[in-house]
Amino acid sequence: MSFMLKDIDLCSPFEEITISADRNGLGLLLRYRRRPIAFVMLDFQPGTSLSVEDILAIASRTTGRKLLQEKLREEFSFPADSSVQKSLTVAVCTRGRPQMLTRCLEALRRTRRPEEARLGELLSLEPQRYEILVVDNAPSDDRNQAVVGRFPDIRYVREPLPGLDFARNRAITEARGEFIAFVDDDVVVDEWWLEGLHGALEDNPDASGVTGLVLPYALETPAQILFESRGGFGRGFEPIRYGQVSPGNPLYPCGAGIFGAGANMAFRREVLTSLGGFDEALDTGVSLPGGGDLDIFYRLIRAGHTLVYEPRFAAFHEHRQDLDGLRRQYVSWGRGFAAFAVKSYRADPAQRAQFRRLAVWWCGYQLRELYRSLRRGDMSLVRMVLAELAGGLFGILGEYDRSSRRITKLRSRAA
Amino acid sequence: MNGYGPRRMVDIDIARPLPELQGDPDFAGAFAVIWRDRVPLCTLDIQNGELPLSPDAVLQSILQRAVPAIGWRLFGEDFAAHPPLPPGKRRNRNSPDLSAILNATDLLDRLDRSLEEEVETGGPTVSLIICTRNRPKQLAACLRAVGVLRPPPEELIVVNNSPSDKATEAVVREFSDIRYLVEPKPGLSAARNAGIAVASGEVIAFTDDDVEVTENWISRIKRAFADPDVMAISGLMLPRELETEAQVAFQLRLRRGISLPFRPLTFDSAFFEDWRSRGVPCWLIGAGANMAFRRQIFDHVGLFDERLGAGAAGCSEDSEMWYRILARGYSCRYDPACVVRHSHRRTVEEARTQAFLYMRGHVTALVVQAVEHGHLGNLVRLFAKLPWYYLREFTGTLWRGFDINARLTLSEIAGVPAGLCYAAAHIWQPKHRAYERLRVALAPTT
Repeated sequence: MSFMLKDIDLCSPFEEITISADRNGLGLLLRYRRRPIAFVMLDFQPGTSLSVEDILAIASRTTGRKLLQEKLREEFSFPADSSVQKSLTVAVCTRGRPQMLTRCLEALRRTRRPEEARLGELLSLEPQRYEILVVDNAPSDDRNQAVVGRFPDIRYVREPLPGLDFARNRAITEARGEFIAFVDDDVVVDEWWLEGLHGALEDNPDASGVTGLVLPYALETPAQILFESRGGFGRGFEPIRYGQVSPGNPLYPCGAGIFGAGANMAFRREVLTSLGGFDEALDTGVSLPGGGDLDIFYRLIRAGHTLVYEPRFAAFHEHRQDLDGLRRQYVSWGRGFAAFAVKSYRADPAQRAQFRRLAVWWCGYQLRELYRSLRRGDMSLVRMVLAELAGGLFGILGEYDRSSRRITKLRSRAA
Repeated sequence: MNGYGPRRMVDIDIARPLPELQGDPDFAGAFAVIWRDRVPLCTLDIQNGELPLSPDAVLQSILQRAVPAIGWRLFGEDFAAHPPLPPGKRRNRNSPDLSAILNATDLLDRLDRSLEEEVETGGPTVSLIICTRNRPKQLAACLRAVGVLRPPPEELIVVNNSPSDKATEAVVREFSDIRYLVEPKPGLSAARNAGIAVASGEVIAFTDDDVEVTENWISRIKRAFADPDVMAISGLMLPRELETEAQVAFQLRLRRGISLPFRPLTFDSAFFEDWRSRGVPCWLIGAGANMAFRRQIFDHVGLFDERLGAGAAGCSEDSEMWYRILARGYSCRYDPACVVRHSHRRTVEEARTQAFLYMRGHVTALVVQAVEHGHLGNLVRLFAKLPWYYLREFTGTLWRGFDINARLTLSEIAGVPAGLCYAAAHIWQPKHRAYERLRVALAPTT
């Protein structure tokens, strides 16, 4: 199984699509005036030709309403408050993947707003407003430093303590921007990512956090297709404001996965500092890979701030290519989620009843997924669900405490 | 935050600059109705925790929800709504014509023009019948709203049902041009039938004494009957206020989670046949507080069933009438442009009584429908679907807690055996008094 990816803006003329001989499906991203409005995955025989009418028919089935919605939105014009100049640091925390890092940085330099220079140029044209900062986490060699050295105007910093949240917190202290965006090193930002971030902040001037749409960078392997067909990192194509209440969500805000993905997020830097930064006992790599983003989103909301999900703030993530890697990823998500839940359960007594309900819901959800996948006879899917369940169970059994002890040791060794 | 706290009522016209929505400490949230030139597009229920909302955020909330109604007005069939299908059945939906949408410009101007085209002069004559019983203050407010109707109905009839004092008559006397009559047989159906017997209009419209009609209600009704195939019209019922827990709970339960439709719906024999084997959900068609009929339909199918309705079984005289109309092959049309504002019951006790009577009436109607038409689907609903529904509702209660919603559900459940008893006792009675005898009895009026 392997899909082609195509990106079509319905406002610009587009051509027919021919499915290559080595692909048996299509992942189609539809936009309206640069704004992503739908992502569709469809099976096709290799060699199938899709005419412009075929593509319009697909678009119509999936996004006719949304298209009308976007056209209506255009007719309500609001004066954009671009008088407020915001400064931005883009932080890429990385470890040992120089080729991916190169690709990530090149995409960052290409992103822009319409009628403006690309971010790569803005780094030298407006250095007080924009910077890109690479935090190399506990590197064992100089490869990443060499990569960054090839790009003018990109800052490089080393964080010796291993752990994604050590790196993120280092980025917070080293950054100079009022806002800090975190982009994972396996992510390629959209050309209009910068427009999306500015747009989210202009529409929601009170937002302290912004999460973005994360789409697949490739659907070349069965593992990538499986992950994306379960929803991937998608949170939809409607902007969402998250505040203190979310009617209709009885588990709010404890089910922090709804807020977005850590692979593509941005914050007001002083708010992060006021929250004490990321929890370094989470996201500690092989031992506890995950949970740091859930935790920061949760604490942001609990502290009274507003978080916004903005589909225009889009990026492409390279999903795990092989099924075993994906399975390990699911285990780590289960562990990360459980660790976050346990930590928050202890730290936030007011929400304990909610967390208990969340645990019940989570188990119910996983069991339903298991039932569904067994009915379909999809054994790889069954293994993934079992992996996430297993991760959750490990996590409940003291994962967070073990991790805390580990990092205390780390910090004392470093001191 | 209490999900049943009071809501501040807000009207937002998108033809004007959008407002910022502020929180109000006296209310738990805001209930906004979104309009474009007096045509409703959608509603928004916003909790205080989500407020304040900037105009941008208000727009974002509105856009997604208003698209179906706007899409229908601009692109017609492509965005048309259809009556719901039973679970398990699927409808082949036509996808909208994407190039038409892509190439369209000036959408809001086109929307305004389509709304202008709808203002109707002429059309059938309308007799408006209001039945009332011992609620003089509400009746006064209702009649004041009726007085603002532009155009007014050609005839306004107030039927005082089995009054216990002169208060209602006194209120009616304060207004002019009302044909007033008294119907001594208690029951909303009996009163409605008395009104029909004396009405002279080509179209007979009904509203209730706890309702305030909107200024263009009659105009919209006339417009809706322009299509000669339309025999019955129902309209949109919005809340007048949501100040008490009982009112909010009633509003949220109104359509059992199916949101108020803001696009016209045609209920026809296809809809009837789809549902017949499991009980046709005629209560989805509308509410007796906002309905109108071409008068000859009463010659075809008869008058309102006097065993049903407030004062008798408790409810469902309206849905049973629609059932008969559909069973005969005629169509009913729901038109959300015909808008009224209803005052829901304020206290929990009244709401519980209402819930009980609603179910008692509904169960009686199911028996009546099964007996009169031989449609066993009504019994399938009564003995299979309803119990299953209440079982699910109760497991939901374990999750959500025993709140006012659960109390109302309990009252409803009590209505079921009560309905069976009522039906057993009254099924032997005739459906209604003979039309001709009614006309003669009511002929000389004050």
